[in-house]
Amino acid sequence: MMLQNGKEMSVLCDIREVRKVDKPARDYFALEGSLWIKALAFLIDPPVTDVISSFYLGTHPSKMPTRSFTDRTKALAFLETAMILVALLWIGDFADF
Amino acid sequence: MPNSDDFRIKRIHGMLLEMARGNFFYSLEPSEENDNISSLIVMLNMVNEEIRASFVHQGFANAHHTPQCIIQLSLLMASNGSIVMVSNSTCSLLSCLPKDIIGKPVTKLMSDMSQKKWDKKVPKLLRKSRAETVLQLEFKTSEGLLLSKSCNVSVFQTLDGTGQKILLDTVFFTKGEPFGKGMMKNTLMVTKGTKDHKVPMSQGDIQIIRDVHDMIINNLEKDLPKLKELALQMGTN
Repeated sequence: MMLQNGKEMSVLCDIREVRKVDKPARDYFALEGSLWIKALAFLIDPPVTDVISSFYLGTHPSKMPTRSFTDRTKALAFLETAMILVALLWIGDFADF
Repeated sequence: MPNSDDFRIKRIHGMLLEMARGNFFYSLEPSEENDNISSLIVMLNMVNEEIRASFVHQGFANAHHTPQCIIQLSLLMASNGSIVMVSNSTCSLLSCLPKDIIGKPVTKLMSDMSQKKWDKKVPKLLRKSRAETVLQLEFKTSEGLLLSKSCNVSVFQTLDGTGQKILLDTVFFTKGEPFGKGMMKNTLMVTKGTKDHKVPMSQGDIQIIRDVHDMIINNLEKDLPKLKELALQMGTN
């Protein structure tokens, strides 16, 4: 969040080496930690981090486009597409207004 | 051996047994491996955390099950960290006998991460005559399960001037026995001074009152029903 400095961004979250995420960390990431995230891709290495990302996504549903990938290139491609979609939706909302 | 499949499966069984008994305080030590058993351990720990958190939340937010029982984990130590005194509830939480831990260094009961944290923080506290801090520590039970909690660590001077002591304590909430046992359980005292001041209430009556409470809470935007309507709807009289 310090790096973002208030700017909304798409985020690639490499959790392949993570072995534990406790509840306070999950809850923080789901609320304050996601404030300036437009789209989120988890880079995982099954099975452990697959379980972590699935559990997080299952227990903390989010409106922003979020998916897990084992391939970095696919994750980045997803983020690019998601950003275009978010921009289109934003333009659509603005036109309705 | 600690990372063998059999060993980890035994730990999972132990944890599931504790959960089945209604004990959600413990967790399993995560391993560095990236296999199916490790993923099961990770999942079990997270599920356990969510269940534990929902109990505490209901306990405070829901009048039906306010936490009644507090289990205190207390350890009194000499300035070198060796345990001088433990409470019975501490031994029960750590699945050990007092004689097994008295005289031993407290770090023997902790996970590697917590040992490092303890060794880094406590010497700083001991430089002062009186100090207090909160540390997130993980204790290992004799069965290998982890007990993770924020602990209050206090350093103080003994009155007889024999040196410093360290007190570590934290509390766990449980639902426990809500009220008295036997006859008291079914009796509610209402008004002092009346001749027959005890109104016996059955479990059914208590349940009806709770249902009415829930019905009112869930329909705050609507007007309260008249007593007759309430009686017909909820079975009150």
